[in-house]
Amino acid sequence: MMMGTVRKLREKGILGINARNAAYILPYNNRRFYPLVDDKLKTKELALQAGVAVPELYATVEIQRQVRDLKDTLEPYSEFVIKPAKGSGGEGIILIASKRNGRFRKTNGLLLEIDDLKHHISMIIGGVFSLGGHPDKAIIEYKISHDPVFEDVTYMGVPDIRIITFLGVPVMSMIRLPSRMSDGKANLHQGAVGAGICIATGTTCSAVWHENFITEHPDTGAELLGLEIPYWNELLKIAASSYDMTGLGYQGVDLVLDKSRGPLLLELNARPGLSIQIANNAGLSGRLKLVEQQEGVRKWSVEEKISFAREQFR
Amino acid sequence: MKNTHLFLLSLVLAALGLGIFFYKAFVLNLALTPDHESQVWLVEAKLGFKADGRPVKAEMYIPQSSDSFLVMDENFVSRGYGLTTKRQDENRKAVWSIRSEEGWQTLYYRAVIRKNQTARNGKKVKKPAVFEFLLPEVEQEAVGGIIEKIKEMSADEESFIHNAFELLKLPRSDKNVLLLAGSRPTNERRVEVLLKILKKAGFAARSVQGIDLGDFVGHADIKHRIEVYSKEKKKWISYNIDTGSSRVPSGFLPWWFGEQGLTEVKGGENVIVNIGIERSQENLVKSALKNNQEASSLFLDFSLLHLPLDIQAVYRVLLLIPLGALLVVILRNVVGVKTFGTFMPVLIALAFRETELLWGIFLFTLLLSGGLMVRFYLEHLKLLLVPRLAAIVTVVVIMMVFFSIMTQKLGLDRGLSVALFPMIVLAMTIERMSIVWDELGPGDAMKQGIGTMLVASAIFLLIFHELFEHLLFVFPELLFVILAFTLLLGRYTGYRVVELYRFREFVNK
Repeated sequence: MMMGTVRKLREKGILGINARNAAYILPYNNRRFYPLVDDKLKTKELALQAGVAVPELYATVEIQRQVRDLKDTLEPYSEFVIKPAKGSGGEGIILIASKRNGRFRKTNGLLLEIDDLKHHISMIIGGVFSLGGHPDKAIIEYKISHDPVFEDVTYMGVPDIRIITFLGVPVMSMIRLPSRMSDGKANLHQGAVGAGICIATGTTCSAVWHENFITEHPDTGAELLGLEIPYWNELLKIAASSYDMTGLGYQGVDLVLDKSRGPLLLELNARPGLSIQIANNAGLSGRLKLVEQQEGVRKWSVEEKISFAREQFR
Repeated sequence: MKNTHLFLLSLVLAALGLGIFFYKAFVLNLALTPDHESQVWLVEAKLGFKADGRPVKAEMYIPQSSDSFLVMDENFVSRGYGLTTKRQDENRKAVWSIRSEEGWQTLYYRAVIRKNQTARNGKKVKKPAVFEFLLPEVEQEAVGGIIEKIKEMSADEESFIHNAFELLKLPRSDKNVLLLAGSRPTNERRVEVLLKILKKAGFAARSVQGIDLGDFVGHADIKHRIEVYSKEKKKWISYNIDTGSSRVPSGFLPWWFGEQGLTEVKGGENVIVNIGIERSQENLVKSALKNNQEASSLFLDFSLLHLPLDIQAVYRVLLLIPLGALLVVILRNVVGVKTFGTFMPVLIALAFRETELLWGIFLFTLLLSGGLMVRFYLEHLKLLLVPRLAAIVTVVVIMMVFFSIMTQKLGLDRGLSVALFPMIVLAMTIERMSIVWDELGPGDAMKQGIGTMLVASAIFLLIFHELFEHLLFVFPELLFVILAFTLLLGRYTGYRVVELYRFREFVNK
C-alpha cells in the first residue's frame, strides 16, 4: 500500500521536502544570500535597484529614540501598514485604513491612539515578532488595496500570488485567497484557498482548500476556476528577475496586485512550501529537472525565461 | 559524484566500525550482552605470624584460573620481603622471604576473581598418571578389604565412588573403615582415607581445598573436596566429602590441591591465615574485558574501561546520544514527525531516565502547560522577549518547588523527582512551543508538542536500553556505523511518510 503510494507520487513527479532540500535548496540557495530575503527592508532595496515595483516605503523605525517622533513621521499618511522587517507568518502587522482627529482606524474598524502604535513599534524593535527574538526594525509602508478582479473570491484580506522560480524560470504558481477560516490571512495552512495558476495562460486551473480539491470559494461561493489574473506577464517578469536580484536559485516570489499601482513585489522566500503542488494538481520534479537540463539557463534574459516557461508549463 | 563520495565514506566508516566490532566481539571475545550473572569478587588472604629474628621464608598457596574462575589483578603487599611465585605440581605458590625480621608480620595477597564466561564447557583433560604407592601392611590389608567390599556392591566407577563416600559416612559399620578412620574422623582424616581407597582401587584422585565465594561475608572457611578423574567424561569430577554429591556449588573457588596446609612458614610462629571475600563493585564490563587474559590488544589498552568509574558513568549516557539523534533523524526526515528543535527530544528522553516514562510525561506535560499559561498571561502585559523568558523560567521554578513540596506533604515521594527535570530543557521547550504557537497557531504547537513527546518516549524506550548502553560502551567503534547511517540519511531524498498522507489527493484521483 505504502509502496504503491510512493510509486504513484513519483509518477506524478511530486517533490517531497527531503528532495526539495537536498536537490534544490542546498545546491542552489547559498546561505550567504538568506539575509537578503529574511529582511523585508533589504528585499525592498534590492527590488528598487532592479527596477521592480514594491509597496512604497514611507519610513523605518530602527531605534527607540525614533519612536518619540512617530506622530511627525506619520503626519503625511492616512493609510499605511506597520510591519516588522524580519517577521514571519503575518505576525505583528497593523493595517491602518484612515486617520481621524489624531486617531487611527484599523481596517477591521478598531480605533487606535498614537500611543498604541508607539508601543507596537517598540515591541517590533524589541524583537517580539522576529524569529528567535532578534532585535528588529519596523517598516511603515504603503497599504495595498487589492485589485477588484479578486473581489468575489476573497473574504477580507489581500490575496497574494506565489510564483516558484528556479534559476529565474517561473515553474509553478498559485494565488492564495483568504477565507473566513484563515481570518483574512493568505496562508494555506491556516485555511486560505489555494488556486493553481497555469503559467502559460495566467488563468486559474484548479483549487484546493484544506488539501481537498474544490471549484467554488467556500465563503463567497464564487467560481474559482478559469479566473484570469491581470498583468500576468508583468508578474512573471518580476518573478523571473528575482533570481538576478538575490542569487537564490530556488525561491518563492510573493506578489500582490494593487488596485492603482499594479503588480508589486511583497517578499521573497528561500524555502517555499510544497503545497503549491496540491493547488496545481501537478508535481514540481519534472519541471525543475527540465529547467536544470537547459543549457546556459542562468544566463538567459528575463524574456527568454518567460517564453520558455509559458511554452513548457501549461 | 557527490553521492559516490558519500557512499564510499559511509562504507569506509561502517566497515571500520563493524570490523573493529567483530574483532572485539569474536576474536577478543568481549561480551555482546550485559550479563547479570557476571560477578566479581575481591579476595584477600592475610597471612600473619610472629617472626623470631631468624631468616623468614613464608610460603602460601594462591589460587589459579580454572574453567570456572579467572584470577586477575593479583597483588602482594609485603613490605621489605622478597617475593616470588612458583608452580609446584598442580599448584601455585607465593614465597616471601627476608634475611631477618622480628615481631608481628602481616603479608597480604589480593586478587580479583571473576566467573569465567568464555570457558568452553567439557574441556577434555588428559588422564593423569596414577602412581603405585605403598601403605603400612595393616592399612594395606584394611584398604584391600574395603575395596573388595565396595566392588561387590558396585556396578561401575560411579557407583564405586558413591559407595566409598557412603561407607565413610558411617565408619562404625565396617571394621576396616573403623580401623583406618577411627570412630569420629575429622574431615582431613576422611579425605585421607578416601584418597587411599580410591587410589588403591586405581582411580586418579586428589584432594582440593578452596573457599565458597557464595558466602561472601567477611571471613571465608577453607572447604575440602575430593576430585576423581572420570575416564568416561575425561575430566575431574569434584565431590563433596560429606554427602558424596558431585554437584559443585557455583561459588566454589579451588585454591590448592593436596592434603597439606595452606601455608608453611619457616622462621615464624603463631601462624594465622585469614581469607576475606568481598563482592567487588568493580564495573561488570571491565571484567568482561579481562575475561580473555591473553588479549592484551591495542583496542583494550585504549578503551573507555580504563577511565575512572564516575567518568565512565558519564560516557555510558553520552554514547547513547548519537543513537538517539539518529532516531530523531529517522523520525523527522523519513517519517516526518514534527518536534520542537532537533535534539530537544533527546534531552527530554535523558530527563525521563531520572523520572521514568509515564511519570515523566505527566510531569513534563503539567509543567509545560503551566509554563505556557503563564507565558500567555505575560503576553497580555506586553513584555519584551528576554524579560518574558526570564519570567517564565522563574515561574517554572516556582511551580517545581510548589509541586515538590505539595507531593511531599501528600506523601507521594515520586513528586520529588520533578526536580530532576533539567530546567534548561523545560524553559527551552516552553519557549520553542510559544514561538510555534505564535507563528503557526495552537494546532501546530500541539502537534509538535505531541510529536516531541512521542519521539522522546521512543528514544527512551528503544535507545536508552541496557543492551545499547552496554554495546556502545564496550564497542564505542559502533559510533562509526551510526555516523555512516546518519550521513546516508543526510542524502535521503525520498518522500516522508507523512507526505504520503499530505499528497494523498494525487493518488486518489
